[in-house]
Amino acid sequence: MSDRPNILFLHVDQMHWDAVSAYGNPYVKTPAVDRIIADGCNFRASYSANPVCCPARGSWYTGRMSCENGQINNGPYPLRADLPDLGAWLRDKGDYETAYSGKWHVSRKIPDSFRQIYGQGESKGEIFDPAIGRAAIGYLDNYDSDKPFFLNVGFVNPHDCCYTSGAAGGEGKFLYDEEAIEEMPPIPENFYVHLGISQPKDPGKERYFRYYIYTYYRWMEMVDAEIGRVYDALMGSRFAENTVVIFSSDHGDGLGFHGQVSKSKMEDPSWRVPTVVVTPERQRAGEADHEHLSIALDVTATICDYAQVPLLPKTIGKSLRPLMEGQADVDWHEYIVGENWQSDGKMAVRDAQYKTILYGDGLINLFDMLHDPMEMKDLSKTDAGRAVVKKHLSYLQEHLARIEPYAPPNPTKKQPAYTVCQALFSKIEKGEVAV
Amino acid sequence: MIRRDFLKVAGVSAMAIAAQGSLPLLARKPRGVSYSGLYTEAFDSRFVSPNAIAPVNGYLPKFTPVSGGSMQRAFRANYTLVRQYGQTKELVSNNFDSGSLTLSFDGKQSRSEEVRHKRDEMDNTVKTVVDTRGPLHTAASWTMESSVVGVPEVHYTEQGRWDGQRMLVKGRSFSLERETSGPLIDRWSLLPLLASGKIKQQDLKFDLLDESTLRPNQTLRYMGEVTIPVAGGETNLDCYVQSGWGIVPTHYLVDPQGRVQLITMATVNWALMDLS
Repeated sequence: MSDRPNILFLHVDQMHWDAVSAYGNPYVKTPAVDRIIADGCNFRASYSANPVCCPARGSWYTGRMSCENGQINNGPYPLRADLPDLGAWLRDKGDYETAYSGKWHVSRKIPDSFRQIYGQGESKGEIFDPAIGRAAIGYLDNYDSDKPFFLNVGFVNPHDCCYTSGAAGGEGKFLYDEEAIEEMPPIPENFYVHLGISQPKDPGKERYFRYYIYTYYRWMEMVDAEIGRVYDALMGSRFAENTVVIFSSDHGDGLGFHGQVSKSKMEDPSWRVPTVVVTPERQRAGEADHEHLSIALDVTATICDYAQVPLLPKTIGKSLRPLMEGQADVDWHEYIVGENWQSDGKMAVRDAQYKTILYGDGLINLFDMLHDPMEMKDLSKTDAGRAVVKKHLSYLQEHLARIEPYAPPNPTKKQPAYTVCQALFSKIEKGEVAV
Repeated sequence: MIRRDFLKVAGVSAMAIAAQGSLPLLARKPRGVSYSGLYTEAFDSRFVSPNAIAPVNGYLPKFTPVSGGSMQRAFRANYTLVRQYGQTKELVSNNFDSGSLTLSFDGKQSRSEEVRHKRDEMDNTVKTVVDTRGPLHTAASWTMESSVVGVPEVHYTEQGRWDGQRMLVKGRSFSLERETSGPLIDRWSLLPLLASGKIKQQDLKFDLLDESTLRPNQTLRYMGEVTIPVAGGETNLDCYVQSGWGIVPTHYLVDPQGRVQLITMATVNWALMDLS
């Protein structure tokens, strides 16, 4: 038997970082995710590399920012063929049996890197998540190799929130479901503040969002049930003593915060994600780590670290393993950077206290995340705020110097995100961002 | 408007009203405003009919309710999985056949075989056998067998039993345990209960056994009669709704003879094909 641990990478799709009952959210019950959180350390200041499905996943599997790996947005943005991915890396460098069940959404065929035990090309959770879970359970139940396994389970929900019924226009939908539902959650306190700007009241929108939040939490519970079956099957098996579990989400969801749903934004509901690491020794069990800022590339580095293989080439990700082991003086991120290339594009810098969001159209927001975690008061126009933004712009320049942005030689008209990305990078590198 | 009357504003007639922008909430919006993408990336404006049939309103004009057989005694039934996949340009659900379900119930034992098709042909088949007891057909013990086409290493079988307080599940290499909060009833064992009409008189509180997944704290209640469009006209059905942990509101539409003709969730919906 190998001395390398098995690794179970469980992820969900579009999970708001706080859509769990473990920390007291009374509107959702997630006993399975709560158990994972109780067994491991939840890195609460974790963020997606690019909060949209394809680029977020491309970053997980290459360990590189989406602007580096080519898969910069959903749609016709293929991964660079020369980059290795996590499945093939563990298989080739660590002699792992790699298996994949679930939603993939990376522009590379699953069988190139994993045994595809139940692939899923469609982002629909209600219909496919139970089968994704059952395939994973079956894989565990039958596994008899001497090699360690890297089992990657990609659930879809709560992503079904993208296909909710049309309550915005639906009096009927509302009347009917309000009769079926005992209580709908309230709107968030920052519902009428977006981009640091107050928005007009809209009772119809409130009703829609309350129903949206209600159903979102049901989708979350639905996938929680499947997560629980896989997690408990693992923990009830002989693999419990030598398997590291990592749980995360590709990105978040607006969930009514700032009056928004969906992703692609750099405000916390969209950008921030849960990241939990459970070790066989139950290191830091039940701890919530708010101190260490983490980006999705760290998940990749962590998996490589536990698998005892080199980190993926040229990654800026850092392994969470030393933090799990309580090592002193860990060289950690002073700040993290996220990006998104929809519309005019945007980048965000998050340090211990502040977050700057830099939009491609010139808008800048600055939030004090310690004193204003709901991101309601834009400080970018204050003297102190300008100083912070300038510091963050220098961080961005430093970040761009550390990575290797990819510029395809001839982007097509169907690939505008490449141009959007390069335009914003150029402004940052030349110091042309007006503060 | 009382619930019963509202529910009768259904199908084609409601679509016509909606098309004029005359549904109450619609009327508040200026004409010419597109709802597409207003609040979600793939906005399904299913405001054209009662929620109970919203996920299948594009399919219903092709649906002929089954007229023979009964679910009030031993029965065999076949359902088709009516997949909901967004909307058509006509603002009705885009539906297609995505699987099948074969059920049988002999009064004590429920058997099911469900196949969910997938475009890459990695179909998943789940077979369950549930031994029930008592007037609520609570689950006493069960087996579940799951397989994926072309992937023999994920085939597995698990056995479960419920002792009234906990459900215990065992596979070949694992076991797990869950506390329950109420009577544990397999989803398909609900059908004879619905057929009996008992739930019209009193809401049912229970935990759902859903292909070996526990979904606790469910309520199944009678909502009234609904008139829905079907092939060749309309039909009246009793509407029950199930809400609770880990599900979206699930509607069961039952004809006067107790046949569960339609079960609607969101992307997963079941339409009765035959009954004996």
